[in-house]
Amino acid sequence: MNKPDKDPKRPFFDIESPLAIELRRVMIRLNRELDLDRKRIIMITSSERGEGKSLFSLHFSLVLANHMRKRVLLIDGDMRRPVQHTVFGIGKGPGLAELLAGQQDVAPRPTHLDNLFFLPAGHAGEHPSRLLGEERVREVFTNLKHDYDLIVLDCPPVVPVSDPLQFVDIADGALYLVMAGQTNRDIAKRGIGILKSVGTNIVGVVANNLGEVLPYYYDHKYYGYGGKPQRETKT
Amino acid sequence: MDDFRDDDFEDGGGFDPGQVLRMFMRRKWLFMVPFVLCLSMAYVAIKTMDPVYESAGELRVIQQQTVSRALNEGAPRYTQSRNPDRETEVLIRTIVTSPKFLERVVREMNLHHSPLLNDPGAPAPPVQAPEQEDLAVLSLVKQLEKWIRVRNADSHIFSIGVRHTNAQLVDLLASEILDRFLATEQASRQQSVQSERDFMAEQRDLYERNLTTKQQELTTFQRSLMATNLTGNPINEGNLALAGLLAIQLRSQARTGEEGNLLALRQEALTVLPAVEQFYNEIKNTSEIVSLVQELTALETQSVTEELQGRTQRGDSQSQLGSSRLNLDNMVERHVSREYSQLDVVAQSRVTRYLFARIYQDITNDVAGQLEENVTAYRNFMTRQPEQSSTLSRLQRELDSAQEMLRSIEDDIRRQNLSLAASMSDIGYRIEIHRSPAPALVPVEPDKKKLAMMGFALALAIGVGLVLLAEMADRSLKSVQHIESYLGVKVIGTLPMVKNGPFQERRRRRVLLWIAIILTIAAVAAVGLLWVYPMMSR
Repeated sequence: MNKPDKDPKRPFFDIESPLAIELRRVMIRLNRELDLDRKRIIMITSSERGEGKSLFSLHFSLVLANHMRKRVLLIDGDMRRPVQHTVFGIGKGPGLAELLAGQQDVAPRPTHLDNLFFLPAGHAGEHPSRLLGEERVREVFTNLKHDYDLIVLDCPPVVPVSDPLQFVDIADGALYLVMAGQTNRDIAKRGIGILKSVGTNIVGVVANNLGEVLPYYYDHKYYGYGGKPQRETKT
Repeated sequence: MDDFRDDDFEDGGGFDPGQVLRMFMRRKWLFMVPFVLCLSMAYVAIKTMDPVYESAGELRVIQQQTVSRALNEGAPRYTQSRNPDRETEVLIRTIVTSPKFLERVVREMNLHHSPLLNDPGAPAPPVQAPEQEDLAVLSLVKQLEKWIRVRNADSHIFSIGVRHTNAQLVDLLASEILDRFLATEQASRQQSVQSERDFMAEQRDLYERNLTTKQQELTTFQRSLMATNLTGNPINEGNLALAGLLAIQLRSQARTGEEGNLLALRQEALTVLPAVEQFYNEIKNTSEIVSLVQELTALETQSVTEELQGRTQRGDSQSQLGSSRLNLDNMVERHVSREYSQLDVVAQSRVTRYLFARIYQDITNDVAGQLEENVTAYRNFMTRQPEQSSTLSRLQRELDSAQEMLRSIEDDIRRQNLSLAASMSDIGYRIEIHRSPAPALVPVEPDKKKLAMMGFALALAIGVGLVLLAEMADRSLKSVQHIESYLGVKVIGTLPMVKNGPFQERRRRRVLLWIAIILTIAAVAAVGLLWVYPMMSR
């Protein structure tokens, strides 16, 4: 993994890295659960901040774009603390907030991958929850679903704010991030409870940071995948 | 299921060193930060502390075991404790840190005016008033006490050293203190032995007086026993019953005579001489009659005594008794014929017989009375005998005890005399200089190795403690099994922590914040070490 690149056309993701391999596994399992050949909206959330949602969403989008050969849209759904735009070297808006506010001329931006598009969070102001009306959300995502096969929605955490619950109805499934060795078990359980209480289809949990908890990832290099990443394998 | 148990431990079923290692790796910052801090503190201390020099001399306490064991029975100083070296060390420290000792050192070395205690190049202190000088001396004495180090360097070897930032001063002070200690200890030892000797001499006088008193008490009591015993009393355990019987017989004989024969004689005498009773009272007090009565009483008593002792009555005593009786009869007859010559011979004979019988009855009563007294005296003696025996044995015991105490103190004095002689001639034990103080060329502080080791050990302890504490307080989810069982949702992916991710900017800010916090703590610790540690080490 390299430093964040301001040039959206430059590759920055090693598709043979342990992370990419594991993301492919997630993709395969998700495909079995949700049948990704159909148009799908996948919601990524967690119990609280700092559990790797945004990083996972970004990398997962890249993997989907690389392997599924479908039009993939990454949406920064965290209108309170947006970060995805810094990776793609673009501004915070216009984006999802403007679309939800009714602005029609907002479109996802292309990235260095032809089939990967990105919609930043936009400028939501001090009260993003006011933009998250059920009808408006449904309308916006229905429109986006027409143009893109797979939509990865990077949501805020469920315990501190209620914003992710507004996306539950339009999402086909949710992935729940847990930072191993860091996330408090009770808070994680509370987040799951909140999502289940509104009928979210929690497809599964993605355990982050297990490389530090378990030695399992240290074996990676012994199978010939370690060492310096090769240029041509980068995406 | 216990939510707080680690699944890996459950599955592994035992202690896993690898897991412990991973635990420390995961919390490496908790381990590394104390290391950086403590080693930094040690470095700052090493770099900022003033160099401290130490000059020390060593003493050796030589003990000649055989002699000292014999000499030190009772009042030793170096061999009684189970840890004699420790005792000696305390003794040395007590002497060399005593205010009197140090004051003498300060005054004789004129230390309070010494330029060695001032900064180099500073002007000499002005001449002070006596009161101020005393205060300066006292202040210096207190400081000097802190500079002195006494250690048990080896078996029977003790080090006396001085620590200070001035190398020249520590050399001078160490030599002076060592020499002065030897002189003081020698004087103190002899003075101590001499004072003990004087005390024992006083004790011996006291015990001697006590012994004399006890001897006198015993003698007096024995004499009182002699006075109250049965000297001249013929009664003993064997003839006590016979004596009682004889006394009764004598009384009975006197009483029978009075009621029978004497009464008849009295009637006859009254018919011829109505004033016979008056006459009896006159003659019985005459010297001749009294003398004869005493003689007869003694003879009768002797006769009874011989009978009690089972001895055959001798013929001469019987004839003497008969002669005395005859004398008495003649004497009474002469008195009657002289006083009542007008009476005829028969009448005089009747009066004489009555008077003789009357006088003899008195003699019989006297003998019986004396015999009864002897019997009573013997019985009383027998009654008091246990009490007297007890008193006698008590007095004897007290006397023995007094004699024993005197013997004991005399032994002690003898030993003490030997000990004094030993002290004077350095026999038993002696203290000598094992190594003279050498000039301090290299500072002993800061001790880099020691400080580094202390920093390392402290960091290790803090780091391990923090990691264990954090692990115990950790309520996070740690494994796939744990996540699935606790949350009730299956895990479809496990990711390693991605380093240097695209959101590095925020991470960098956080790291910078931590670095700032750590640097602040380090700065505070360094400032503390700059001020606190040097002050504590002085």
